This record gives sequence, structure tokens and C-alpha cells, in this order.
Amino acid sequence: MKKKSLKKILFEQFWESRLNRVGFCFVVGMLIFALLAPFIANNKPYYYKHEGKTSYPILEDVYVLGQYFKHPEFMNTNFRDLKNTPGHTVVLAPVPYSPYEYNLDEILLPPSATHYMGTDDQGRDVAARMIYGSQISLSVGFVAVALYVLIGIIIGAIAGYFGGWIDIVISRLIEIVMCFPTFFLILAIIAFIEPSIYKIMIVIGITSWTGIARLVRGEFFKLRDQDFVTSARALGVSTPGIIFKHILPNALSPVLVSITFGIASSIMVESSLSFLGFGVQPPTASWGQILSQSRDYMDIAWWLMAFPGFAIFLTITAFNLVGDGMRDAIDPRTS
Amino acid sequence: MTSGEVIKNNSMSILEIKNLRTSFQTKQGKIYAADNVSMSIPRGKITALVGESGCGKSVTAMSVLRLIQKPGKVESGAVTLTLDEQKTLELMTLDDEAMRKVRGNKIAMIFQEPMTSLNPVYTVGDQIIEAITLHQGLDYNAARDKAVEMLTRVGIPNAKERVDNYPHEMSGGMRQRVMIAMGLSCHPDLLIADEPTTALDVTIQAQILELINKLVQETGMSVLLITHDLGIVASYAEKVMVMYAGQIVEEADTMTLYKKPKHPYTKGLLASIPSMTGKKEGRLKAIPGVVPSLTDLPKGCRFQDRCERKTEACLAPIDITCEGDHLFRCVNPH
Repeated sequence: MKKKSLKKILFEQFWESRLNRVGFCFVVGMLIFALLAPFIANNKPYYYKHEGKTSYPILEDVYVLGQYFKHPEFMNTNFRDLKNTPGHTVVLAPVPYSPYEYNLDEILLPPSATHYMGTDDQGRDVAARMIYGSQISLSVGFVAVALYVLIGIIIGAIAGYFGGWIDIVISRLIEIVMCFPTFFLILAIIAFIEPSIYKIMIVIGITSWTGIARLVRGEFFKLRDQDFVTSARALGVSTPGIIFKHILPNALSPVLVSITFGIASSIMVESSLSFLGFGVQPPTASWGQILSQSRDYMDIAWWLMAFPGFAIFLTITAFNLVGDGMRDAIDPRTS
Repeated sequence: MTSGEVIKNNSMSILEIKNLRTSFQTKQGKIYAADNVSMSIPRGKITALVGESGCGKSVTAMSVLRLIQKPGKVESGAVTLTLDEQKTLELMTLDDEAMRKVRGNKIAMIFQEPMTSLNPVYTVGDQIIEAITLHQGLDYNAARDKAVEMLTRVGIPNAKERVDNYPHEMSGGMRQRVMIAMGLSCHPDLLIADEPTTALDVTIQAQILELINKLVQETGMSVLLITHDLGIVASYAEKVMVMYAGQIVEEADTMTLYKKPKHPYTKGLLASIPSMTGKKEGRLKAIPGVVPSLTDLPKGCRFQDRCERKTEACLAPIDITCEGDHLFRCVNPH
């Protein structure tokens, strides 16, 4: 007897298409990249040896652990200059610049061997800012989607499971919220509150749950009278147990597809907001924000526009590929 | 009924249903899928509830567990579950939490469709384990051992490995065994088996019924076997109730019912079973006509339009007649 769970079968189907594989690998690669940002772009070296003293200054920037590796003595050290100085051993990060490190002597330099993606109007290294910007874009995508998937699942499950007047009230509520043009609603809200990355996540979260809620509601309608639900009820499973343990896992596959598309569109919304100046505020780097800077130098600094634009395009395409592939794998008509 | 009789009845029967009425609101008006159903289910035996599709067998069973969903509703009636000499439960008046503890724990139910009655996203083991942890407060490992034990008991070979199978990796007969294992995992006092073999092929049918019968002998639990197959009733049940259009029309011990059916409907059902041993009797006898729609029932006897023995008296409402333990709802019986 071969043991093959449904998940495995679906995954194998997903994996068959080369486009799906490319999309999936890109997404995973992006995640690893964003997570390792402090190790990829940093002006502190991995390893520094001077007069017999060894240290690892880069550890200072490791998320939580950083506090145990403080090196106040290196505050004003420029390790890039020390690299070729005799008596100092320095192993630098691949992009040896920090995203906030400005240098007014090097403004708007085109891509070169020192600055892989050039510099911006304050002499900051664009490559370093791009790498840190991926953190912002992805975290907005994931957190906002997690938030609205949670809201959507709970509201949709309640409407679909109980039906009757509860469903009527919730369905009308969904229709009302759906009628708002989300992007302009977000713009309007951001106009009143001071923009920050967390607020953007929350605003996207509380305005975008309707699609998920409708999906889940439909699935619950279909599933709540299935035999296995009756059978669970006859076993004495409680109502929350039935909803969340027995019906929900069966309703999740279309939600999963919707999640990947949702992440892509949330990244897009964040980039658009930042581009318009309502999103992430400088000096924090995000792709949309670098694009926004590029408007003023469009004719002289193409690199400011090309790299973030291309990154947004690739990321959204990758997520959409994954979403498409998952939809095809899950949809029984295509297999 | 005097109180003395109640006590006598209780000591013998595990479940007592009195005047149960379950209605469904439809566009054509309110219908009574179970209309004044009364029955008592004896302890430690298999009792059969027989009738054709839509006669209210399953509705009666679901009403007992209070699992009727809207637009259905239990309008009136009392259901008494007698656990032992001291302890009885009035199921219709229990609060929801207490009722939940009855389901699966005291009364378990297995369903007609083993193919769809298991949750496709969990392994069969997990589903049995859930039932066990829900009612018996065992921890996961103990519950898992118990699940393997239950699977072995219902005749699943290699239970240790099978416990991690998903439902789609099993055949219909295997899944029905799993359902039975799940139903029995909390040692219920009563097992309601709602057409447990209808979806299975004949050889598997026999195995499943043999299994239920064996478990009754071993554990002393009581079974209400809902079926439309009088053939399986004869071999396993000790008491039979026949249901027609929402009412119980005849009730007797199996031998009596087969030898001397009183109600023309029961007679008709028995006559429509092909005989393996008898001489050639020509064509099989079918009951003429169709079951009346529950929205448009005739006054009086509900079987009158299909009955050969119809008289004037059949047009008035008919009460149950008792002849000892043989009950029937007919004014002109065989």
C-alpha cells in the first residue's frame, strides 16, 4: 500500500509545471533573501582581526541576538577602507553598505563594481536599500494577508455555518465593504493618520477580507450538510470543533490560492502607497519608496527606477505563478 | 400508563420513545416525517426498524440524538435513555452540553455512506482518537493505543499501520469498519446503525452485520438497526418494527413477524422478497401504488390506497392494537 496523502498528490501535481517550480523557488528565495538581509547588505564585516583581537561585528545586526554583541568601539570605523590596510583582516558582506549610510560625495552614481545598483540622491547604496526593502514588501504582504485571512475566515465561517438571518446580515455587510474602492479608502484613511508600515498592514487587512469571507462562506454552505459533518456531530463534537476542526480544513484549499494572489496585491498596494508618498516614510527603505525618489531624477538616474520596478514586477509575477499553479492543482477539472 | 409499568419497562429497555413528532417546514406546508412514533428498544439485543426510503426511519434516529437540522424540528415527544437501574436521562429536555456528552458516548450512530462519513483531511486514526479523547479524557498515546485496539477488534488487518491511513486509501467495507470502531470506541450503551450496509456489496454486508452481531454478544450493547432490507433483519434482529409514512405500523419479535404478519404492508414487504428455497411461485409480488406524499396523506390509514383489504373503517384514524407483544396499526389485519 503506497502512502500518499492528498497534500502530497496536490504538491506533485503543482511541481510538474516548470513555471510553478520557477515561481515557487523565486518566492522561497525571496523569503530567505529578505530574512538574511542584514547578512547580505551591511557595512560591518563578518570577521575582523586586528592586533590579535578577533571580532564578528556583523552579529550586532542580528535581529534579537544583536544586543549581546555590541561593539561600541567600532562606531565610527569604516571597514571598507580597512580592507586593504596592512595589519587588518576584514571579511565584508557581499554588499558592504548599510541602507541608511549616506555619503554626499557619492550621490547619483550609476551602477558600478562598488555600488552594484548605483546610489541615490543622498549617496546611499541602492542595492543595500533594495535588499532591506524586500523585508518591508514581503512583511506587508504576509502580515496584511494573514490579518485579512483571519478576519475573512471567521466571518465567512460563521455566515456559512449558521446560515439564516446571520448569513443575511453578514452577506450584506460584505457587499457594503466590497463597494468601497479599497485603494482610495486606504488613501483616505492614511491621510488622517500618520503613515507607518504597521498602519498600512492593518488598513489593508481590515479592508480586504471580503473576498476570503465570501469564499469561505460558500465552502461552508457546501460542506455543512456533508455526511462527515453529521457524523462528527453524532460523535458529540462541539460546534466550534465542527466549524474549525472538521469543516475549515476542507474549505481551505481555495483560500490558499487566494492567499498567494492576496500577497501579490498587498505588495502592489504597499508599493503604490509608498510611491505616492503615503506609505513607508524615509529613511526606511521600501521598493515603492525608492521608485518614488526616482521620479525627480528620471532623466539622469535610470537605475533608481529600473531596479525597484523590476523587483516589484518579478515578485508579483512569482506569487501569481504560484497562485495559478495551486489553483490548477486543486481544481479537479484540470487534472 | 401507571408508574409501575414504567419501571418494569425501563428495566427491560434501554431506550424508550414516546409520541415523537418531528416536522419539516416545506413550501407545500408542514409535514410530519415522524408522526407519533413510540417504541422501546430492548437492552442487549439487535432491534430492527424497517421501512422504505423516506418513511421516517432516519428522522426518528436523528431526533433521538437531537440532530435534526432546520427546517426540521422535534415538536413533541419524550425520549428516555435508561443507563442502569438508578440512572435515566430524558434526552429531549437535556441541555445542549449534556446532550453532547450523550452523543458518541452513550448513544453512537453509524451512517449509511461510509465513503463520505469520514473526514477526508484526517487519518482514520485521528478521527477515532478524537472520539476517544472527547469523551474519555485519555491522553493522545493512550487514545492511539485504544484506536489500534478498536480497529483490530472490528477486523481491520494490520491495524497498527492502517491507523495512519487516510479514508481515501481504504475500501468501502474498511471504512464502514472504521465507522463502527469509531462508534464503539467509547463503549456506547446504544448503537444506532442507520442502514450500515446499504452502500456495500453483498459479501461485505454479511461481514459487517456479522461483526455487529459479534460485538453485541461480546459487549452486551444494544443496537437499533435501521434498514430497508427484511432479509438481513431475519438473521440478526430479535425484534422488528415496521414503519410506513411516518408511523410505526407493526411491531413484533422477528419470528412472529415473519410467520404471522398482521399488517397488509408487512405482508406485502415479505411477499416481495424473492425466495431461494421455495418452489416456483411465478412473478414476485410487488405492492401496488406508491408511498403517499407526506404533504397529502389520506385520512385514516395511510396504507389504504395500496391495500387489498381496505374497508370503510380504514377511513377513520386508526389506533395501535396490541396482541401481547405484537403491535399493529390495522383494523382488518391478516
